Amino acid sequence: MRRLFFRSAIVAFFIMMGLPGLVYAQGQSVKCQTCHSDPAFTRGFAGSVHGDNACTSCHTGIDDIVRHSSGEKKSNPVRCSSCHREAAVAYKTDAHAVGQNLACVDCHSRIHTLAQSDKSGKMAVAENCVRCHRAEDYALLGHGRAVAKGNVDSATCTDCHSLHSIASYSTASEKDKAAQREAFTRKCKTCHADPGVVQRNNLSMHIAETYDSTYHGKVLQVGDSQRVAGCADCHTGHNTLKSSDPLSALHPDNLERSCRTCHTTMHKRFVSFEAHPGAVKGKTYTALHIAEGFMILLLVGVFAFFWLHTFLWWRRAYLDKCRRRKAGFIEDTLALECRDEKQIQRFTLTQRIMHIVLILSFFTLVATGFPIKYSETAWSKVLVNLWGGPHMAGVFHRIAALVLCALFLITLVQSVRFLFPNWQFKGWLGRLFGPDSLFPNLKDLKDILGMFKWFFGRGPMPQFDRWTYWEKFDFLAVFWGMTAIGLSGFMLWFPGLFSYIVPGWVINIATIVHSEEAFLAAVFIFTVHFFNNHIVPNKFPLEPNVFTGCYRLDQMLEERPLEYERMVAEGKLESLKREGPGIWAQLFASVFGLGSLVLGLILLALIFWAVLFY
Amino acid sequence: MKKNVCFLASVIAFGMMTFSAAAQENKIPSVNVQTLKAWMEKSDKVTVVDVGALLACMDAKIPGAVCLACDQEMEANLPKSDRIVFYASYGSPDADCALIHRTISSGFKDAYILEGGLAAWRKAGSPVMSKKRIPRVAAPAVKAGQLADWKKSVKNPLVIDIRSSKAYSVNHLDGAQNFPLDRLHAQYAEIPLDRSLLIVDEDGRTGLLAASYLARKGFTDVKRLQGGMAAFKRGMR
Repeated sequence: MRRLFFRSAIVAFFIMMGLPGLVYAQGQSVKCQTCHSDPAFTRGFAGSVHGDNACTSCHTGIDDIVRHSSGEKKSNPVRCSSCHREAAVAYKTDAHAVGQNLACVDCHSRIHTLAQSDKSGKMAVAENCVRCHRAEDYALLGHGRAVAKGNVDSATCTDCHSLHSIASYSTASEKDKAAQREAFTRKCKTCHADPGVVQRNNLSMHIAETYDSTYHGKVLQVGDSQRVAGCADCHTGHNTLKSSDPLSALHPDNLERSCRTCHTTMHKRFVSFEAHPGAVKGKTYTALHIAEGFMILLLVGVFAFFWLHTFLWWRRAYLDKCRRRKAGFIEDTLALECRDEKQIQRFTLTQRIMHIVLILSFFTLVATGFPIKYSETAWSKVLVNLWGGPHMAGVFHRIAALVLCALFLITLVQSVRFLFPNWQFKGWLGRLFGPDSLFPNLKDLKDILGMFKWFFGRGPMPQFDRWTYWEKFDFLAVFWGMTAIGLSGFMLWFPGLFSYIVPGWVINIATIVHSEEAFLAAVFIFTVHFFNNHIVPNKFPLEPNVFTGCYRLDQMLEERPLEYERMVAEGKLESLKREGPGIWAQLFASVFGLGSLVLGLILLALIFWAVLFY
Repeated sequence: MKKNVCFLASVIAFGMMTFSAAAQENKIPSVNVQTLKAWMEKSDKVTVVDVGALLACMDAKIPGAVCLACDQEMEANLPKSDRIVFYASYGSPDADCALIHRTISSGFKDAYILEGGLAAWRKAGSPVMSKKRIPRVAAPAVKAGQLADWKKSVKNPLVIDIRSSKAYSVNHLDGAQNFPLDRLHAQYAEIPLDRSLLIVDEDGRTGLLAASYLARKGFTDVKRLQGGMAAFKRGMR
């Protein structure tokens, strides 16, 4: 009652002084402090960040000072959003708002005395957060310790979690966990891939880039973050420490436990796997460079030879064609073959089916694997989404890999049966180096030399038997390729299982081998194989015999005269003659073959795009 | 013999069909935030009921929602022929929520549960209404592994379990006293003011609200069990 009287007396005094207008004027806050006499209002407020405002800037709705003074009329709830609009909009879906209904004042509790901190803003943020979140868990070690020491590069809470738009993740939802992993990994990279931050803090220059080169990094980039490790999975979310620190999850004593969180079935030697391959020099670093060097040499060697071969062949064929044109020779048209013409069988039905299945599985592998290899490209996610997302693309990749393995095994069986028909071992050497074998022999070497002479007009084109040397290379490359790419692929598929056989760093080697061998296979098929068999001028745009199984006798005479002579000499030519392919077989060959060529060339363009621009 | 087998099979089949139909009947359909908002914008004939704790509902609720705890009676003046949507401030409504089951059996045919509750509502950027918001205090968290240290470090420790009585009866921390969040506003006076409190909730989501409420009521030393009982159980495993 006495208080009420006192307040009313003050108000009456102002009214009597004829100053009612001042109630809402600039200096009105001074009057408020007459009643609201807490030191926070009387002393601290003027020097606070809000000190330029009047009390009524925030405490609105006091339109009757007498009723307010008597406690009858309170001010409207404070709306920070009237000034801090951007923060308020962001905060609507902030985890603190969504999960805990925290209002601005809950964190900014000393709002009337809020001043620019003497400490760094980062430290002030951390101090505020640890009022609720345990400092021991979140801010005493790692980044937090560096912030406390005054390192302005180090991350404080809001650098990773953001200030007013902390995402609300549910720990029960796998989708949320994945989104969280992706978001935080991206956050880590903003600093750890920044050359300035890295140099100033003596960090490894390649830590983000090397993570991106691993299966973890690539799969996360294409959006399958549910299944791979992000930064915080190994380094933990808070208190990230150097691996030399016994408290670090990456300390040698703790590493096995850390890896086992995901790789539950692994052997302890798995821990030698490098999550940032090549970032730090050591044993693995050397092994990785040897493997990479070998793969690069292989790529350079194969492409240098075959691209040169292809170019020279194309040049020679082009010159020949021009010469024939000038001489008035009319080229064959691309029209379909007539069925009444007898043709020579070149491939059996089984071989043709195997080739079609091979094409399908190969394209599936390329179209699902290369988006991972070039995960940073613009087309990567588009291609992956065509398969129904990263997870489904992975499923298709593995199914196609198994199909290819089955084809490889069938080919192996066929090769053994070719060498040892009815388990007859006698004469196997002759069969191995004979004209029906796909194994290289001395004649192939002579043919290569002869071919180069022909390219430069220094001799005739060599005469071939059933298989040319480039066809033999195609076949044998599969043996090397399947061993390298298949074995490395299974290692990447089952890393835990393979850690019982090989140490973890071999999985790093497997990643390089799988990736580079895939590049070799895809680019070789889409350039050299396509040219030798389809784009070479006398076959352009398609050689359909691998789909129809047959080709014309005149083609046999032109392309494989030695085989023709041999068949005639052995009296087998008639047995090779077949009815020519029907209209449907030719239509299938054209559509499927040309479709495969176009698809292959599109994929090739995407690969070159990635190589040249990323 | 053959007849008996046929009869038995028929009885089992009928029983299974009845059971599955009953199970189907008891299942309350859910509705997402977008649909609820559309209903609320189009028509006022949708009743939204917050069946969480009264404290939580007063702290924040969907504008226009009615705060009714699970053990309360449905108010007589609520329309019976229109849609009704139930939600809880934290998590999903209790599966045994008597209020929901009573409401449905009393004639509400068009009843739904809001998917994701209030959190989903807020996540969609929708406004909430606070009838009496509880200002949050900095109530530090104690990790499950540090419970013994906490007990030693304070004078009069008291563990307050704010989970439902049912959850409390299944398992609780040694010496914990049960003050369910639903009834905390009515029972807090029974807690001695001079004790150092540790709030144990289900999964760490409601502990801060309860701690802040008790701090407003004069308790000076209130802490929370980090991650609630769920984190404690994980720690035990």
